[in-house]
Amino acid sequence: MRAANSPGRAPELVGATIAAVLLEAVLAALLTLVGIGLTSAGVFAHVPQAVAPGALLTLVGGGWLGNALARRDVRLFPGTREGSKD
Amino acid sequence: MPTRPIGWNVSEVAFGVMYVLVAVQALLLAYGGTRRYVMWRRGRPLSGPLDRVGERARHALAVTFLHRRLLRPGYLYSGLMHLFIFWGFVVLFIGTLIVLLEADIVRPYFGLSFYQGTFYVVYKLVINLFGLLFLVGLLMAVYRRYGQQLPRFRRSLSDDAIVLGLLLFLGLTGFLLQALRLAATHDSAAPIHWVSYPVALALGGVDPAVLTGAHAVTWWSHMLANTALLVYIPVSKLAHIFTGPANVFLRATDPKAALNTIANIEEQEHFGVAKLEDFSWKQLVNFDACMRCGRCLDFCPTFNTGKPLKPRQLIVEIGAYMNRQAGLLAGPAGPRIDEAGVRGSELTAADEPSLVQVPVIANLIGDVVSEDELWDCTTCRACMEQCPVQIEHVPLIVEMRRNLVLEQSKFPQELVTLFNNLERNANPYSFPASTRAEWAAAAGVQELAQVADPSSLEVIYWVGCMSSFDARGQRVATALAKIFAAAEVRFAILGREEGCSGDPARRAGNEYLFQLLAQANIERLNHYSSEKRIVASCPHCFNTLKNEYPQLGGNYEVIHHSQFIQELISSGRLKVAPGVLEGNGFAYHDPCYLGRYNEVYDAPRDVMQSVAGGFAEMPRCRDRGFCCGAGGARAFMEEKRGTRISHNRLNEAIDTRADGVAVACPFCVTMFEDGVRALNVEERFAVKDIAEIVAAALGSES
Repeated sequence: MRAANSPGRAPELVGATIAAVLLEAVLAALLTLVGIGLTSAGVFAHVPQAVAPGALLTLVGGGWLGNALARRDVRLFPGTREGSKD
Repeated sequence: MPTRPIGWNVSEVAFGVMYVLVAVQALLLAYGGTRRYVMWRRGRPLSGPLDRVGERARHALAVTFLHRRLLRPGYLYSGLMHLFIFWGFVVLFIGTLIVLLEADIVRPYFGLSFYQGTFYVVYKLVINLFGLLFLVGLLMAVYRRYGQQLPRFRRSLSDDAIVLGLLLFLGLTGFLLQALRLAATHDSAAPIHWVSYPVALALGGVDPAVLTGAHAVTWWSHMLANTALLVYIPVSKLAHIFTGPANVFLRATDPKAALNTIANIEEQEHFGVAKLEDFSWKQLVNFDACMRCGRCLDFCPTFNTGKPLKPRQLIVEIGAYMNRQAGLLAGPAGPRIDEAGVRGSELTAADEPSLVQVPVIANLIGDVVSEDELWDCTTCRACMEQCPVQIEHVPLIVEMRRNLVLEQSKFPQELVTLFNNLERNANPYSFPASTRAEWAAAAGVQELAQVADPSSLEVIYWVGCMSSFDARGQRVATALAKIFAAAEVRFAILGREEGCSGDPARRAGNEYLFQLLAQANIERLNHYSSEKRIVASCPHCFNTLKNEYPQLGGNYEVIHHSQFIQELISSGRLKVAPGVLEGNGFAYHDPCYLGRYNEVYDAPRDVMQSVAGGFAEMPRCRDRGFCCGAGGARAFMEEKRGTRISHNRLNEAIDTRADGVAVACPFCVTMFEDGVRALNVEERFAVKDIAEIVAAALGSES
């Protein structure tokens, strides 16, 4: 999605709320948990066929979650802002 | 049949945790990568789609996998060091994927196994070889930073310690895991693990229970270190694993000598770069690509003469500023204000003072990059030529200069005079434009306007301002006119119709003035014939006419006088006696805008060989040449900070024991003439343009 007044640029990022990021993050987290569940089943219940799809889902889900948080400006550290010191 | 049990001595819990760690690694890697991507996207869009994608991809692959820009003359140690680390890392990573393929896909889905027999033997031999190369490369890096203690790494040692420590730990624990298993299981295929086998033999007498316990501990620590490394990649210089090749792929493919033009400049309301968003997104990638190798400093005239501008620091600090805005920490940051309380812009030490600690609210120009840093650059391109990941420092600096000049009207006082003179007289000096051809009248050189049939001319001689107005420069122009006459070259000059090419205005950030000057010249040149060859004796004019005028509709065949003289000699039109080296001869200095910008290295050397019987090569030569200090409009500014660049270069020429220095640029002549007077060596050390040397040889022959 692009800001209408800024073609070609990423949308202006503002402080995100948990609600705003919730749905996508929850979906990504769910995918990750399903992946972890599958690999765990593969490992602990000795179903080796479950490990590979589980690992793939874990990888994709984890990546998606990280991507979703980053795109919505959820900060790990407070950042520097540009602007006048006055 | 040789093989090994995958997952030996690894509990189910450990495997379960390993897959949870995959999620953590993926999450943090994706988070860091996306934060960087979001920052880049804040930059301006490109004017069009990326060109020559296939060529870009081929070049990026060659640079990445063959280390074309890392393995270069003078950089054998560091090039091999990085090659070993890179290929060790890549092969070990592929090795891990092969094990996962066997364990999680081939065996469970197909009931087959390839991880045995000959494949296993070859696999182990290769993995051990590349694992060893990986460790050797890392130990070379440790020695380079902590043994040789090079000043260039002084401020990044803590970041380097984390990176090298993690990689070394991974490499060593990988081999230790192998040795512990071999010792504990008495594996009959142990000798094919030829690096860890001696360690396994040494551990042969240890209680198997102890070996098994040590193996488990090592496995956990290896796994956690692996997670730490992956998490550290996006927030450290290790990001160059991805951003380096990306930057090489995105590099400018235009003539490397041309700065980008501001289209429709009359209609623009904002000029250059004052904040990160003013850079294009492609330019922003530059700031994340730096691998902190410091090669940009090796031949940098400002770094080597103690000036505030240090190209690596400029890139690292803006990169850190950008990453802090993205909420990422960019490596350990030292204070911008150094230990002695001196601001970065005032530092003149030869080594880099610090990485960045920018204030919470900061301006790009002023807080992150000082104006002094921007004005110190001679635009010599030494940094860009050496950078392994092709960071384009000079255009970034000129973009910020453009903002200072065109928007903020903040520039050194000397440039006020320069810009005024260029506007009023079409030359950088206070001479009226009407006097431009006075030297020519004395030398019997015709102006184009006086030529009855311009189509009969072979070339137009583009004299340039320095050779038109400066008495010393006029001697070069007169010498060249003498050469033309001797070779019966039909030529004329634009004379009073010639104006400054615009190079100093453009490099100083005054794009508007550059375009005015360039358009006036293009109009006149097109009037006479755009198909005529133009010979320029000034590399700055040569570069501008050849590479930048096409941006404004001026397309000409432009050659430098060194190339033309070589052509005249090799075709037999110019008869010179076989050169005999007199005394100790001359050392040859490569002008930056002739050499690095246009890769004209051999023509002036061939001329020197033909006419003078040889020349002395300075240690810093060709693409590793050292600037005279005049480029980037610096010839028109005072050199207030650090030591003199021209003196640094002159001392190098004097150290060759030559009797003088031969150059092919009127600005180099002036800088070195000033230098020999200041160093008080003018009685024993001459400064000559190659045209003067050739003309003198003609004189002696006659």
